[in-house]
Amino acid sequence: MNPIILECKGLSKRYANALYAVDNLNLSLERGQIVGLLGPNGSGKSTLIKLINGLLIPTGGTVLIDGMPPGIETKKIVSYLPEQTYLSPSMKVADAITYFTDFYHDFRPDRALKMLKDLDIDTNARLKTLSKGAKEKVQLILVMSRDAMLYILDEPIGGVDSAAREYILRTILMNYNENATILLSTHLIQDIENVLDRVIFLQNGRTVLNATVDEIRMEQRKSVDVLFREVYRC
Amino acid sequence: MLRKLIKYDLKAMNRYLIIIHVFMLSACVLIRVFLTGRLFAEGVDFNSQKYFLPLVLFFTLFTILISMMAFATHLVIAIRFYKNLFSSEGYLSHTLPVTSGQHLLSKTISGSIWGIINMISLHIALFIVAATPYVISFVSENKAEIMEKLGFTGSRPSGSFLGFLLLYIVVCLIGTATNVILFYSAITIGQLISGHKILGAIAAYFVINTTVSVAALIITAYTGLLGASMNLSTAVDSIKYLKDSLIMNGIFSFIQTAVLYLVIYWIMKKKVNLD
Repeated sequence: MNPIILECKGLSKRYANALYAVDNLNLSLERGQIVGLLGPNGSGKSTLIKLINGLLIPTGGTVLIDGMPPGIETKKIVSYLPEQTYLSPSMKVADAITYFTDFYHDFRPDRALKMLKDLDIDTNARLKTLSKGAKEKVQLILVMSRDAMLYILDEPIGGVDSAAREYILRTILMNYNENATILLSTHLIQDIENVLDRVIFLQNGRTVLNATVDEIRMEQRKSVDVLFREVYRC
Repeated sequence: MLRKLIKYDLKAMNRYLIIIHVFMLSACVLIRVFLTGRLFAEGVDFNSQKYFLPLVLFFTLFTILISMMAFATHLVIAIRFYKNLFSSEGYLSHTLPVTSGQHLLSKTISGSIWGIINMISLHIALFIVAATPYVISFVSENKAEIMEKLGFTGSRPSGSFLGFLLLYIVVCLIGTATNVILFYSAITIGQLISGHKILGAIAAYFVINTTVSVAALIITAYTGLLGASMNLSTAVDSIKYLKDSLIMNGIFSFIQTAVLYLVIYWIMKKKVNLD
């Protein structure tokens, strides 16, 4: 088994007439880690995530997932939670479960149903009738109910209250196996610092730091949150 | 996976399109009961001034109805394509373990299925409003004469009626796919215009349509069909012209569909960015 689950070599993305959102980025992630992708708004986090998922075409460089460029085979092993609601509002929660069961062979409906029950979410409810927070929980439950090799979560705790945040983080921790990797983008560092193994700081589409949380604490004697504030001080 | 994609595409469109088509066919039944059932009946003198207004009303109502239904059908098909692939729903669609080609094929098949249902419904609608007992008995009593006048029988027949009907059906089927692909290509090209994607799609629709129309005109003139249309003296000539036009239209639509399909595929695979 390839120990590297994600590799970016000279990866760049420039939008029309704009600066590079991701600029000659080199990155290598091993299996079995929870990685925080951190950076202020506009640092290139979402662009990088979209490039990994094949939603954007790179301007230059390559991205490899388990040694393969984004395509059918990588989509089978990557479970992606975008920032926005990507389920049709007219769908019932139960329809969304059927949809995931139909398309993802690694989807575990029993696991999803149990989590929905824990959160008192009615499977017969249409998504448009749910609150924003409930919709985000449904999406996270669907994504975490897959036995994927790489979970990519774009701002999974951004729009929910602190109680829900705790449940979501617990859900993430309980539902991935030790060989899987979680790449988690957020700006709410304090809330997730304790679950992270490694952090990547992005600025202007470039990596400014790629270190384990232990390295930061031992060598710099700072928490990730404090270091983040220092690096991105305005 | 393709079958699953088609299943979900049809499911998403069915609830709107079934309502639209049931509404239209119900409206046709009402037109038949209150208008054409009384107009196309025994003893009605169509030259009489009394029937002029109801006849105009019927043609206007029916034209508006079928135009609206065809427009609504294509609008639903186009919206499904746009929303499922290029709006926020695209984040899920494009991360499913399926290829861009499977997405496009699924949308083309499901869109064409509804295009064909729409086409059949238009013919059923026409039958409901026009085929009154009087019209049916008139046609069956004068079938031989009608066929001769149309040039399908007689001393100089221009071909069999069945052959013509088959040709008409084939061209209708190709035309249905062409319409669907035309909408899809406009939407896909519009995605390349960052920040103005919907406006870009509308502009692309008009540009493609104009280009196709000019190309069709040039081909029609080049093949002599344009000249023939201005020199129709007999029914036999008309049917022959209609047949030639249908063949030309079918070939042209097929080429147009194939080219636009490849363009959409290339853009979806190489150029589309979900930002």
